This record gives sequence, structure tokens and C-alpha cells, in this order.
Amino acid sequence: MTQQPAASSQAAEQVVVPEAEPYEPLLPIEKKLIVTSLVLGVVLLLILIVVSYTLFPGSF
Amino acid sequence: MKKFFSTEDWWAVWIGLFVFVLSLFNLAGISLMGWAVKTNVWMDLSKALGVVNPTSWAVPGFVGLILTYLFMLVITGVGAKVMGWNLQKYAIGFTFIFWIAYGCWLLGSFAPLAVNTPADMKKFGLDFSLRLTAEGGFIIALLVGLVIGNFFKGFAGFLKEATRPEWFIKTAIVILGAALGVKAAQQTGMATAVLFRGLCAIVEAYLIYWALVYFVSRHFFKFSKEWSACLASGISVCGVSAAIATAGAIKARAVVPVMISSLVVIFAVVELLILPALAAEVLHTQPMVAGAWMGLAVKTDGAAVASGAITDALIRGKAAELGVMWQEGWMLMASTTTKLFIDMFIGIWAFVLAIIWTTAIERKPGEKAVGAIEIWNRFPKFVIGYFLAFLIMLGVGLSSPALLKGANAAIGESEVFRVLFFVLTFFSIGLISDFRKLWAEGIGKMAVVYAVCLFGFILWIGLAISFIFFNGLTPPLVK
Repeated sequence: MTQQPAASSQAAEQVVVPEAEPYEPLLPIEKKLIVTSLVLGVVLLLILIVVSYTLFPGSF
Repeated sequence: MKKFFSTEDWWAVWIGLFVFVLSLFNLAGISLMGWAVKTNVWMDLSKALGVVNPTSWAVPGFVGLILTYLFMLVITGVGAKVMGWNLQKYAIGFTFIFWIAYGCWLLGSFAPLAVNTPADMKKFGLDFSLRLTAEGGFIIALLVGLVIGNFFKGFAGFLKEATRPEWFIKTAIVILGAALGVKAAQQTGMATAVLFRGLCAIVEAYLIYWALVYFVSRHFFKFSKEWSACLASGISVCGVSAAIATAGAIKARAVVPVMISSLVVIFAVVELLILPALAAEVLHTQPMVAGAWMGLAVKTDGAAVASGAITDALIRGKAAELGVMWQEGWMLMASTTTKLFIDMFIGIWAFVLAIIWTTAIERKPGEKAVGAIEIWNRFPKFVIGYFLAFLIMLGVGLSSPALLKGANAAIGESEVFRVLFFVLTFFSIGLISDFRKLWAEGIGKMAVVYAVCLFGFILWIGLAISFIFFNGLTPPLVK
């Protein structure tokens, strides 16, 4: 198991400052995650717009 | 077998599911936890406490509160004992934590702090309210915890054995699954067009907002992956629950989502004050766009629904001046539907993030691909509990609409414990956080990221998407 024991995770809570942590540049996998998410979002948006206006062309 | 009972992660599943199973007896008309305390918004303290099911359990509110305390002490105490903690110290610490945290929650339900709709302002005879919603109690719990943790360190140390924010958070999320499952099942009765378009609109929240906020946080503000992922979920998806579920999924420290959640609640108040008035001014000819916008833009459940209600009232008022009488509640329904769909997908998003973090983000350079067993070992188990509760309640609701009444009674009981576990989490985080560092270096910059993302693009993309999907739709006229 790789889960941390409660005591050590509790000790880690003491270091809470986001800026105190060393900056790590965006990893390639993170860039991929961001780009994939955005592309998927835009493509799905276009598909859903077409489907939405085809299924429900009018108002209530 | 032993590993199923040796970690907080698994015990969050067992306790969450235990509460869930007890609540399920409501499907057969049996209320086993109807004695659980219900905290009302109050002006008169004597009316603040009640029980969830007074029909089945005719006990005073304060008795319900004591029973709730004892119940939570016992179920968490069993877990503490099996995990090998010092039970006596845990019980004493838990007792103090529970009562102080509950006091904070009670204070947060004080009407001048919590009330956020014109109707409730009138009901309580108020001219002014901070409009924090009852969720303001979370912030109070955090602040009181911070004061104790930073100025009464001896007392905070005394409570240490029971200061378990991660455990409390995960347990709450498992219980949350049941409530969202019932809400999902109930949506089938809504107008199909609103339902479908609400579903479309959330694509943006998860795929577009999240990626943009994560990028801004990482690239421009140099936050770590841990802070950025939780911040992105908190700002873009659904505030408190999303930040907490994401933190669990990527194994972030519990302090991270709690600090972000506090910002979410504060910003939601600002949105609640500004957006309905703005919508009424510029979108009164596009009522459903305005309603959906509230659901997409305002991050906490309470504030989003309140914004929808205010928008509904303001726009119908404007329309009435022009002789158009729209039916009440349709704009609110657009807000609620959009918000609920966002809520429902939290678990799936947490699942996706857990897989990505385990297999790719946290993978060291040169390290082999993570095997299936390692994915399982690293996987946050409470997500399983969440899904189990969610799917069971969704199945119950969809299989027989007649069971929905019992299902609602069930989540009425279990939600008491979900909220209390959340409150315990916020208070516990305060106890173990360094106040000076937080305020000096951390939370200010996070607030800037939040403001930049919210006012820079989230509001406007949300408006554009709402316009695309709800443009031209109007509520039915009053007959």
C-alpha cells in the first residue's frame, strides 16, 4: 500500500503555503491534459449545439 | 482482508456506507435516524434545533443533537479503535471538536448571517443580511479552528488524536453520493428541453473551465499541481464538494480544498449580490438564459439556487411591467438543473482525475507504466463508496417513482451527517493550519487567481454558453 499513515499526512498539513512549494514547470502530460480537455470541450460543444437545435427547435 | 480496515480511506467508505444503509430503511417507511439533529435558520435560538423526522421521533431538538453526537462518536470511535489509535484520547478530542464545530455551524445558521433571498428576509423581518447561506458556518468553523490552532496551541495539541480532516472529508463525500443519486433520479420529471440543454451546458464547466483555470493557475501564478487541480475544480466546477472530491482523488492534503472552499463561499456571496441584478438588467428578454447563467456561474449550491430565485423574481417583475406574465419557477429550474448536473458529475470527474494522476501526472520520469494493482493501491477508495451510494439511489429513484418519497426521507437523514462531517473537517483544518503563513503568503494569491478566472472568463463563457443553449426559450405564460 502506498497510502500514507495518518500521522505523517497530518504532519504534512503544517506546510500549507502554496508559494512555499518549489515551482515545477508544466509537464508535457499536463499540457496534453489541458489541450485534450479544451479540444474535447469545443468539439462536444459544437456537436451538442447541433443536436440540441435539431431535437428542440422551438421553445416550450 | 486486514487492509480493508487499516486505513482512513477504507474507514471513510465503511462509515459512509453504514450511514447510507441505515438511511435506506426509509424506503420501507422505517426511520432509524430520524432523531438526527436538524439545524434551522434562526432568529430565536430556541427554534434553531429540530430533528429530521419529528413524526417518527418525537424528541426535542437538543436531545436529537446529543444523540447525533453519540452516534458519530461511536461510529468514528469504532474506526479509531480498529486503526489502532488511542481511543480514550480520540473520544475526548472528538467530543471537544464536535461541540465547538457544531456551535460554529449553529452560529452560521443565524438569520442575519445566512438568509439570502428577499422572501426569507421578509420572513425573518430583516433589512440586512450577510447572505452567506448556512454554508457560512463552514467559514466560521475554519476561523475558530484557526484561532485555537494558532493562539491556543496547547489545547489544539490536546485535540490532536481526533483532528482528522481527511477522514472526515472522505466520509462526507461517500454520504454525498446518495443525495446526488436521488437528485439525479428526480430530474427525469423536468421539462425535457431544459434537462437536455442543462446537460449540454455542463460540458463547458468540466472540459473548458477546468482546463483554463488549471492552466492559468499553473502557468501564470506558478501554483503546484496539487493546488492548481483543486483550485480549478473549486472555481470552475462546483465549489466546495468539487474541491474536496478532487483533493481526495489526487491525494492532496486536506488543507488545500478547505482553503479553496472558503474562498468559494466568499466569492459566491459576491456573485449572489451582483449577478442576479446584472441578469435582470441585461437579460430580461432572455429569461432562461439568465436562469442557466446563474447555475453555471455561481459556485455553491445554496448561492446558485438563491441567485436563480432572485433572478426569477426580478425578471418576472420586469416582464409584468410590460404586461407579460411568465409562470414562476422556470428560470429557477434552469439554474437548479444546470447546477445539479454539474454536481452529479463530480464523482466521474474525480474518478477521471484519479486515473490521470495515478497513471501519468505523478509518474516519475523513466518510471514504467503503473500496473493495474498499483493503480488500485493508489486509487482513493472513498470514490468507490461515493459511486456505490450514488448508483444505488439513482437506481432506486429510476426504478420506481413511488420510492422517491422514501429516498428523499433517506437523504434527509444521511445529509445531516454529511454536513456535520464537512463542519468537522473545516474546524479540524483550522486546528492544524498556520494562520500567519496562510494569510501572509497563500490565500491572498489564491484569491487573485479566483478573481482573475471568475471575472476574466468564467462568467462570460458561462453567459455565452447559456445564450447558445437557452436563447429564445421563455417560460410559459400564466393561464
